[in-house]
Amino acid sequence: MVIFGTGEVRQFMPTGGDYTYLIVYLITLIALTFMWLFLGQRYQVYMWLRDAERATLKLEAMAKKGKEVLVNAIKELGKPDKDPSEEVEKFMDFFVIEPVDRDPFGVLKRLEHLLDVEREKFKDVVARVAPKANSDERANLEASFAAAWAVNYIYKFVRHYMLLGKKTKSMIVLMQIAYSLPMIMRLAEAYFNSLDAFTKGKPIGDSVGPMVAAKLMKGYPCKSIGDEIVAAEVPFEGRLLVVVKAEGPGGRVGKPGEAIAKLAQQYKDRLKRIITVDAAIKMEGENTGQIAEGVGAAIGDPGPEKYKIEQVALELGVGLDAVIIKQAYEEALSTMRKELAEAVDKAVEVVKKIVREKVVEGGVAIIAGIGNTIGVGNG
Amino acid sequence: MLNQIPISSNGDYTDLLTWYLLLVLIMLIIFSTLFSATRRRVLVTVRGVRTITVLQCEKCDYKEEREFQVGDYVLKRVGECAKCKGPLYISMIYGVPEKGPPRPYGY
Repeated sequence: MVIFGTGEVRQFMPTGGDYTYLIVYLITLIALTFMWLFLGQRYQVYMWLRDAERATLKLEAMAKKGKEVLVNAIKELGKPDKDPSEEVEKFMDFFVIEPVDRDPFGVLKRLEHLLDVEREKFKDVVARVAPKANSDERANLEASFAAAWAVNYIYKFVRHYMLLGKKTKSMIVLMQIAYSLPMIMRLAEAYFNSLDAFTKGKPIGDSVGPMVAAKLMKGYPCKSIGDEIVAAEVPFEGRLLVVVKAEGPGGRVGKPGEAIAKLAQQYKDRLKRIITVDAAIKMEGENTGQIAEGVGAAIGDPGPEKYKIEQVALELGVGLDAVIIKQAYEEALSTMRKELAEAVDKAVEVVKKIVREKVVEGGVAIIAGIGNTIGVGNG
Repeated sequence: MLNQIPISSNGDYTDLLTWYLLLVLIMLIIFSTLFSATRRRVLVTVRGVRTITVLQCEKCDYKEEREFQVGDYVLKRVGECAKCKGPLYISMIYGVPEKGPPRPYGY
């Protein structure tokens, strides 16, 4: 046997007759080859399991820290008589069962009812643990509860699949969780980082919609129209803008669909346009704060509110315009970035442009700033 | 390249064997390091955010920036303009990510 090297040829087989080392070498080579053949897959499983275990440990720490932040905020804002830790821990197991959709008739009404009950549940628990907090602080604590709950749920979800994969040694279970981890961790970190904004009442990326509405209604009297929504009548170049947003500056989203439906009926004789402004998740490669115009109801609710807007627009034959301000998921949940704060003024101009183009003088347009109004006043 | 591998031409394969045993040892070290890594303490880190509140005068072009204070919100009235004594309000609140590596949470 010969090996062709760079410029020389060497004898690979020994010439002296001692094959001991060659045999050892061959055995090692064969052993390594077999190890690779039979343990390769197993090694891959261990790699996935290791990733899932590390993510679980990180999520566990995040969930624990999230609860700590929440408890501290409750103590600071609500001045409770007893330690709220137990109540917080108990609430982490809270769940909502989605309505049955095999018979889809009336499913949105049933979903809306369940969402109302869920909202009540959040209000009840916050009122119990933070009795001395004011209305806006309570709204912020409700949002903080939701964020801490989300981090805790993600932790339990990943832990479940990690342990299930470990127990069953199932490649498919571990592979799925390992490959989903980058997205899951991004989501968990977004919720975890949102706790700082929610507990301190800072505007978040999702607040751009209400901020556009607030800038439009600035200087005009606004009144509460129920369902945690405020509205103001704003005269604009011979037209009337009815501007709607959730009641700030607490962390509320309200029920804008319900409010728009009510107002649309009230102004139906002169109503020409319904314009919704909301934050939207950007695609990778798009810029934060980029504004886009479209058609439809820009609202990210599970269904009932969007349905009401579409339904009333259809009934009255009114056009639906949507203005979105693009941002990444984590930006929507964390303290508002400068690019987004600056995009608000541009979005206000876009809304005005639509009104000029689509609403004749003497006509009415409903402008709704959709999203969480934390850190944004009412104009 | 090949002539750098210690293959003996006189039947002495001690060097070759050492290389392969070293390879096996390295593999074992990698395996054990990987599996022991899961037992390390995990620290939650966050990228710090500096929150800025921008104050603006309603009557003139006066603008001022300061650190966010709990209780601040957009469109809140916060006193008088230093230039024209007009009403001053919060026009925007935004976060600026701090430079440098993420720091452990809570420190």
